[in-house]
Amino acid sequence: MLSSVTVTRRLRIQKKALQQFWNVYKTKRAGLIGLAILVVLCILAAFPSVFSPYNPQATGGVISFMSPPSWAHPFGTDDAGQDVLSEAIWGARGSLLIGFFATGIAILIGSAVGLLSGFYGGVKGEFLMRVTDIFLVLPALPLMIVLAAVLSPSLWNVALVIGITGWTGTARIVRSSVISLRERTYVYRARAVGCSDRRIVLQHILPDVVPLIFANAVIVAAFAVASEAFLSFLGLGDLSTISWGSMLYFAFNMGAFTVGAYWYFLPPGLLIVITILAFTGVGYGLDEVLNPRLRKT
Amino acid sequence: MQSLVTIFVALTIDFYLFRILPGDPVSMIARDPRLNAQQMEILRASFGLDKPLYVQYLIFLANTLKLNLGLSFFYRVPVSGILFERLTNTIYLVGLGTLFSMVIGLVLGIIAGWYRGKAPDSIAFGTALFFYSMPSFWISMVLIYALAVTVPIFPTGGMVNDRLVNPTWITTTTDSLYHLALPLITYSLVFAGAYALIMRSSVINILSEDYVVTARAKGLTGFDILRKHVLKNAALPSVTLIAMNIGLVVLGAISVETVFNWPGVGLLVYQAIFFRDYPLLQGTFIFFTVFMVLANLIADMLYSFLDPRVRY
Repeated sequence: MLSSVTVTRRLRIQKKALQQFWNVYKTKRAGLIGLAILVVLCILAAFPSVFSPYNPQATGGVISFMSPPSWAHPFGTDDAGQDVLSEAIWGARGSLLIGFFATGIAILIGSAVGLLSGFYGGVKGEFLMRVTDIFLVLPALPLMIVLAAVLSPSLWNVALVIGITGWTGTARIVRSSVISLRERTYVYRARAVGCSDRRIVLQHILPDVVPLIFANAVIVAAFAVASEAFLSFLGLGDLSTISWGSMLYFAFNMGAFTVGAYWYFLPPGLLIVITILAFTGVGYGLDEVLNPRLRKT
Repeated sequence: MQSLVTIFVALTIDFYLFRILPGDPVSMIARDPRLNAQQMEILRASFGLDKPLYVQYLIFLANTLKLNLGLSFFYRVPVSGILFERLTNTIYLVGLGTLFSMVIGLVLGIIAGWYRGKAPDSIAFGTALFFYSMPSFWISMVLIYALAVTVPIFPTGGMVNDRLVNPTWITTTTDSLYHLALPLITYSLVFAGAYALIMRSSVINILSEDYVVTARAKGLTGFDILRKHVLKNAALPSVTLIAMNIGLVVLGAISVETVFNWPGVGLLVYQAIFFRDYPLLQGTFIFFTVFMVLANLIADMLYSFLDPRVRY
């Protein structure tokens, strides 16, 4: 059991670390802009009904199919007469939700595999390493397509598919970091006083790789949002959930780009680009804070 | 060795995934209500579906080795045949596209890295990042809208014009090039961004090395440093990174071919999904997996060739 004194002291140390982190991070413009965009998108995704002018699934009633932008419909309407602006706002919820869960799954698997295969030496370590290597070089993209084609297309399954094909990068980074950490003096000391492997990994090594995992999570999130769009485009996404990917799927299949309905396919695509750029910006910001070699120059 | 194991693992995953599918190939192919149970049984036996699972697995492995990838539900011809037929078209587009995008990307990346933090970098880096962030199928749609619909310079898709009057080899060649142009431009633009980002970071890494400082101290001019010291060394990490991003090539083939209706292997993936043609999907899976594993293997060998310090 932790005493309350230890807890408050730990909290204070963490608060100080966060403060220091923020002091460096806030000087990075790319990181700040990215963060701001993500905050806005998350607010849109959290309360889409507040911001969207129409019900995204209401088909109008008036004859308003494929109508170009107007005051009533700033982004026009699609081939079902639905308001594109409202769909784009609700789409943020679908895309970010899938991105969030997929990232969670990928980071969880990647960190666990990286920690285990990096920590153990000897025959056990060698075996873990070999098995991991096979999965690390297994081409992810074809696997993702086939998995998605086989599983029924629900929001969770799409997130699951992206998660279980997107963890290898995280595993690689965590593993290489753990391999150097396990030779540190404090790990030897922990072992000398009789700590179990489990305790060493969770209490001593994990805290040191957490910043790395976070920086990586941002990149995985960008990958997840892009993958959702790609899977939906192939018709493997959950088309009953509004997401930017499913919007593009319908736009593509209705041939919006050949009939000149730019208002239909531009907004979801641009939003995907903005989201990915925002994640990338945050990634650069984190990288500069966490990687002192970059900061110096 | 490692590559063989990887391919084997991929094949095994592939086999089991397609076995857990609801409905077997026979029920997919034979939707005719006039078929009775006995006829269905005969059909099932002809597909080998009456045998135990491990026998089916061994047959599957043996068939794959013999490049027998089964029969396409939709086209009703052997999958391997369609794959090879479509492969040439993909090679035109993807081969040329990869070449172009690498040249554009590497040049952009070198400029950005060399002028790090200055105006040329901001422009090159910003552009590269922007293109890199775009879903490749979306930029294909945007470019078709802009350059084939609004301003009709290029055809909207397809590979040939079937209605040429008195085709001679000159007109057919021009027609093919005309159809190839926009998908090729699209493909090159999208992936130039990725390659530029890779090259930029490796040039920046090398510029901070001691031997570059030494070269500068010796009084070499900027261009000489770039040519003699930076580029050769930047080539090394780039080779592996480009090989690691071989997934991009597959991604590009699928997206660009699908939107431009370019009859290659990538479009085949889309069609396989669209028609729920599982043998075809399985075939393209095996094809792309083997391709990607081989590309990685070649990159490894190339790397040890370029850098004699590396020995496997």
